[in-house]
Amino acid sequence: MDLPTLPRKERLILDLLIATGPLYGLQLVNSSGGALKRGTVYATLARMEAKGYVESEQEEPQEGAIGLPRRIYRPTALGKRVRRAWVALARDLAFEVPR
Amino acid sequence: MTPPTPNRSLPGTLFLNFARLIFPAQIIASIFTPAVADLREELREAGTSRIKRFAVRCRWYWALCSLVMIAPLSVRTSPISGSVDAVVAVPNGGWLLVLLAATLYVGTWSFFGSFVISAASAGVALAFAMRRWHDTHPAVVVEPWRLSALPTVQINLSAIRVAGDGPGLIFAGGTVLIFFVGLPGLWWFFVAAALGSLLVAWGLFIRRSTGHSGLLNSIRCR
Repeated sequence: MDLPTLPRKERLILDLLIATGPLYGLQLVNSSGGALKRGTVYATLARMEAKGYVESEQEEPQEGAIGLPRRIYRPTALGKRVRRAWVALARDLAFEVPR
Repeated sequence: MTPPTPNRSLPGTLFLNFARLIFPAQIIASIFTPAVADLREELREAGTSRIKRFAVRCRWYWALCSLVMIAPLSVRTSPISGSVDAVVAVPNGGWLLVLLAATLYVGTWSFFGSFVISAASAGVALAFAMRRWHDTHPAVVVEPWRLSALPTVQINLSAIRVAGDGPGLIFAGGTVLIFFVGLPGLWWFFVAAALGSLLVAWGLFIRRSTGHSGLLNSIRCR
């Protein structure tokens, strides 16, 4: 069985979603302090959704919005567990792994 | 659910229409549509300031171009239309083939000139036609959890799953057309090749209908 992987950007996205609640892709970019880019965040989110780390739904059409409904993302239970496991692993290995 | 009808005057509509020609519906829905929706939201927040709107457009068009480049390398889809579960994180080797073909065209530019342009144009048109056909007539149906068992597409023409009858015919006909446009003096060769291939196809048909399908099975298994 393949173990779940959690690359740096996926970790950051999970951090932001767990800390602030459901966010749009653009809000993730704006709140990441430049670590996430508009040109990559949607592909990363699609990959995370396929892995089961996040789930998304389309927002209800709002007044003033033009055209397409936006998609809002939130972490899944699996995403939160993988994130917790990664934090525990990083804490255990903090003094073992050479910098 | 019926997808929203695109309005040509809205920002990002042209881009979405272009992306629909290249990418399957799952990638459009999971990657490009959310991006364009956020582009429109940021434009709305920019208000009426022309400078702000211009800056937003520049940022987003650069981002959308980046997405077109990275989407095929970071996700791939199964032939099951509309299955979001089928998006997995595996590099798609088909784009390496495109890169190889582009390198070949650039390398032979000084020798063939206009042939390169006609071949590239016909190749792009053929690719769009094959994508359209594949999206509407998926030839292989697999369960998403069995995707990992599928062979990885590599730089090997014989390993590319054309499948079905229609795409195979489009591929063969398009290839002959490209060479015919580039080298009209060799028309006799194409006619001979077409007759020869018909002969081989007839032989295979006879062999298969009489029960000797070992060769066909080996081709299918590869």
